[in-house]
Amino acid sequence: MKTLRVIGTVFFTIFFGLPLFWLVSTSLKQELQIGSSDLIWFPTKPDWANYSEAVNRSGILVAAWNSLWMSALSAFITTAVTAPAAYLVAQSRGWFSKVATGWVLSSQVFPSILTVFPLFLIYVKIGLFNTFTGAIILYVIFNLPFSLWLQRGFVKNVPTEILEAGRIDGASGLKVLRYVVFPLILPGSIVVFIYAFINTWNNFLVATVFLQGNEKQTLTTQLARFIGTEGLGLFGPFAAATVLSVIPTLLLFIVLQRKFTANLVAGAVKS
Amino acid sequence: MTKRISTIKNQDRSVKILLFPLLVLIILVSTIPIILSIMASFTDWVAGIDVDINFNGLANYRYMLTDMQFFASFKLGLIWSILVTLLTTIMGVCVALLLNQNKRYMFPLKLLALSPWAMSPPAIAVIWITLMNVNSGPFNIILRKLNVPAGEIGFLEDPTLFFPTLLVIGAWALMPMITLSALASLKILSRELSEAMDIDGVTPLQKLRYLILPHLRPVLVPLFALNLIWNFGAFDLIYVILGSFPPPNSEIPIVFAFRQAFKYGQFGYASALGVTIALFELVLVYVILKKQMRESNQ
Repeated sequence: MKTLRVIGTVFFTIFFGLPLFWLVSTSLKQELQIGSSDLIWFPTKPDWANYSEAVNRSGILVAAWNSLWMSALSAFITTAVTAPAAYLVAQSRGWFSKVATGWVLSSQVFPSILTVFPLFLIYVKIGLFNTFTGAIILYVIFNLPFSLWLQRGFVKNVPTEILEAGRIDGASGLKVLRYVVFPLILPGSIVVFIYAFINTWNNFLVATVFLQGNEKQTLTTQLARFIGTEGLGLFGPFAAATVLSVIPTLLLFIVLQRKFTANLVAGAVKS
Repeated sequence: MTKRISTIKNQDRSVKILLFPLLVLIILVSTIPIILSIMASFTDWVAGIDVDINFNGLANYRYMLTDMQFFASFKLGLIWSILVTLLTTIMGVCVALLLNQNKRYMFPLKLLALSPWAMSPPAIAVIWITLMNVNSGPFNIILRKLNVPAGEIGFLEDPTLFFPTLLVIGAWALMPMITLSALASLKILSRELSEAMDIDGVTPLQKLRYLILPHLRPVLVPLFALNLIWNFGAFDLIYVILGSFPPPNSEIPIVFAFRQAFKYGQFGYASALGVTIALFELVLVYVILKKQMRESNQ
């Protein structure tokens, strides 16, 4: 059993570690070293030229900024609307919660890629096409089903006695939400925020279809451009740009992962 | 009592009003497009400006039944989705079991094993394209060093190797979700029971068979069903990788439908394919979850 454990640990460390290691090492190699048919695990003299080239390439910085602020804003809005929505779903016994559950399920089943064209036409018609507002609306709505599902577990754990006590005291639904429910489901909100941020940061579809022009690109679409026709000869800057694109989400995840896992467990367990 | 309920309803009304704009947006960008897409599947809609769109009944669906290419891609999609889901589930549980030992040296593995979740499909594609390169990828260099005659393996270019390579990439990229869920479930496994079994001299394998796996089952089965349909419709990752290496006959149905719409402009036909895929997924989830629910009721 012990040997099995050791073998497993070594295997998975290599399986998950090697791709990342190779990416970082490639991003620090010179062009000749990258194309080399000798095995260079790590360049003896790390070369940062790829990073300056990646950053200087037109559009990467703009794209990074777009990704950052849109992800933060979308995650914030998602978190803000998920809490009251999850509260309503958990509270209502009737058709409302059924409709909400039905929507969550059906939106998972129907391939979003195939609603893209009708959506495109709607967006052109109402003037949301190629606007940041339009993109953020889509990010939020796409984040919502899973966020609702995550937050539902936490809302259910709020004792009904507390809610009713607040109500008998004459507090409105909004006040109960603001002063009773929100503080109690803060852990759930953290989980939702992290999920929504990472999901938006990594979203490829929305920016590909609904945002056009260089000034509206995101990091994912810029990277995909690299992969296309122009990029294949440019492994170095390509790898450097990828490292840069991964750093924010990875950092967020590393810093908050303990909280994230713990809260995920907390939400799932008690319900 | 009724009065109290009605005041509660009134109190909640303010929350409902607050959420009303959200409902409008959901209908606008989620419900209406789905309905339009279902309607479009019964039309002869093709791309172009000012084209006439006519309802043509089931013509798209009839054509679909004769479209051997779609059947081939459907079969491929099924194989892909079943294999990659099995692979991620089995490996994800293994990783979760390793991580659950709560040893401090496991922390790096934990970060590594969950890290693909923080990466976008293009980033994942970049990583693996670099790694699998014919000339400069480490695997090919090592193979050449070992004097393997086929030291120039096009993991992504060779039509027979493309699919297995895609499975490995898929397993790598899609595992974190399973690992995380299994880990969360293992954390609430009764420690007393587990320790009692150790004292009674139960072998680790028996423990896995009779304690751990039954405990994980209620979490894993729905997750398996969800992953099955997610992977069946996994568009981004495959599209990005295919974008640079489009081998023939390697399109899963979702990519096939996307090409019909955006390359050939067959919106009507593509919508019919989309509706078919959605219906298939719905049935799949229903069958698996129904079985699960019946079992948990017994």
